Amino acid sequence: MTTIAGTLYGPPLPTAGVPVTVDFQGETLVVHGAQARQVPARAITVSAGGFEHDALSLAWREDGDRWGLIVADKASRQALVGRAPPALATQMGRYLRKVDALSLKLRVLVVLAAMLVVGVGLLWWQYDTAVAWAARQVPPDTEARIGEAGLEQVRANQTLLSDGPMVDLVRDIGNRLSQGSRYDYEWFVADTDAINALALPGGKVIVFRGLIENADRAELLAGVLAHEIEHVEQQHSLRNLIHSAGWAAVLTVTLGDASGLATVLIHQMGNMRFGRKLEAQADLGGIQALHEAGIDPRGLTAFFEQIQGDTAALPDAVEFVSSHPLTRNRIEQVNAAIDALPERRYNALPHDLAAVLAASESESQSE
Amino acid sequence: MTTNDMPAHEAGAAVPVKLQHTISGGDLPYIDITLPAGGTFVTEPGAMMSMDDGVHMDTVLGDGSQDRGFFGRLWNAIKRPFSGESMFSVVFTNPTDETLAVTLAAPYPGTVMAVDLEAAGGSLICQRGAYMGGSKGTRVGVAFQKRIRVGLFGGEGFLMQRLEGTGIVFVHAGGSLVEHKLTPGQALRVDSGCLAALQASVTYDIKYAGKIKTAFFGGEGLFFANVTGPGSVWLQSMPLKRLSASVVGPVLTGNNGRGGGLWGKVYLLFIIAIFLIAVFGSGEL
Repeated sequence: MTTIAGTLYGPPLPTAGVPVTVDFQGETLVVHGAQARQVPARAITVSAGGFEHDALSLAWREDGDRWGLIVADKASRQALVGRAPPALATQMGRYLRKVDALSLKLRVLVVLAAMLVVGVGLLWWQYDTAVAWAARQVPPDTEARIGEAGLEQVRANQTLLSDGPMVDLVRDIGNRLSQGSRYDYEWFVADTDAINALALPGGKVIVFRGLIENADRAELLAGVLAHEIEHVEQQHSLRNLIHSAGWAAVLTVTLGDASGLATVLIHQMGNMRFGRKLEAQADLGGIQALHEAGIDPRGLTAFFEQIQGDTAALPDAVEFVSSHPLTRNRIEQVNAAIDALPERRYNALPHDLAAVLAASESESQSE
Repeated sequence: MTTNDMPAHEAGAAVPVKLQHTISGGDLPYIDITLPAGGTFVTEPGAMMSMDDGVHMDTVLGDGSQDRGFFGRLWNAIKRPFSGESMFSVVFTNPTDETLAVTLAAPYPGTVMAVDLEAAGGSLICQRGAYMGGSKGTRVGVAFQKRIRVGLFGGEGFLMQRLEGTGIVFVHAGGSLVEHKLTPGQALRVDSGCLAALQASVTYDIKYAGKIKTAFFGGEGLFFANVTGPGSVWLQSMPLKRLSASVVGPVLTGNNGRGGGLWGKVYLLFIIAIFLIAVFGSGEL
């Protein structure tokens, strides 16, 4: 039979208590040793206590003084609960439930905390994948509406043409490159000298007139279009938006101000810049699309090199360069990817840019 | 002649001689420790103020208690920062035949108390960082608060220190230290943060202040710490948090906390706002 070890507390004893052995005999708690005494079970109050909140704590009064017994080690606790007389059964049951609930709560909390840590770790490790996954969950009509809002912003600063010879040219080349896409593309030409192109979510592509005017041949325009189409196909705008929205949500929670979310989203709508990584992805996807459409992918690098060589002479290209940083590294990467493509004969595009520009010129004069 | 007057090495292992010490210095305390020939004790790094020539000082990983293997000591050292201590301890030994002295200084204004762990029931739980030093062999570990509500609102957090052993330990806390000896079932409500140390037999819980009005304007917060006997608790009259708040606040706001308290807060909010704009704002908006 296990000896039940506990610590006895009472007014004449030191505050740290005195170690004793105890047992139940019938309806009586018997304390052995120098502090020998007998306590009737019905006078005892049972509770869970101690710093660990799980020690079996018995309390009673003797001549008005408070006395207590704490049983801390597990084996003794179980033995004392097991030998308790019927008078204490309810209280002992309550004690056991309390201790069980506490340890269960603690275990659940530890598991939750571990899951949170693992979750945050996974998210940090697979952040890009997670954002890309979130972007794919956005329904196409929502994406189209976001694109529409972006288009309004561009319209505020630029005159956008949605028909005419230049738009026909862009549409023709663009359709070759976006065959089989899940997006309904819309093509626009911004009537400005700046050399630039934009892609909005949901398949709205805007080419600036300066780009068409400064391209030597149609392949250069096709290269840029393929790049912009890849931004749409890979949902780069949406991914940036989700990335910022995530931070905005964190800000909202920490600062408790919902206007933070709105601010970041509005800021993001006006900001059409992508990171270097996304630009590289669009380059690589673009040359693949060009290759598959039978258009010479060297048009993309040819355009980069032309812009880079002419930057000083072409102040109109500043905007393009600022949003598409043309590092030596980037051009080399694209060239290497082109070299890695399987051998294929490319047919020259039939479009004559000069003729299109002339037709566009005469059309605008005739109006 | 009593055993206490005998030198340590003659007293034998059966009756270990407790550290001989004097605490002086009032609110900025220091401890003079008398090391008999062959005597030794352990402190936190940086606690030493002066020592006699001849005292040997060594740095060890962990708390300097011997009853573990290498990995046990390493694990112990890794746990120590969680209880507010350094990973290392400094061991002072007296290799000479004479009695030498070492003086330790408290890290901030407050009170140092010497607790005989044997008389305290073999262990003592105190607030993080309270342990200053003590007899060699004292184990300094982490006491994890298993009640979530106590960890969140009790004022001492989830982690406290558990000192175990049979020797003397020096515990430091802010302001003055008051001991309350609680009889079984006797409860005491304590302003959260004022609890400095308690015996393991004491039940430490929280109690709702009872009225929203009191919670907001009573100056004690929503919850009290509630300690129930049996056992001793030690309360500190000026927790470090309160001491630093009363010093740092006026330093930041440039006033003494009496006149213009509201303007001080407005000024502080203004500074915070500027900081936030500088960090999160952008020129494009």
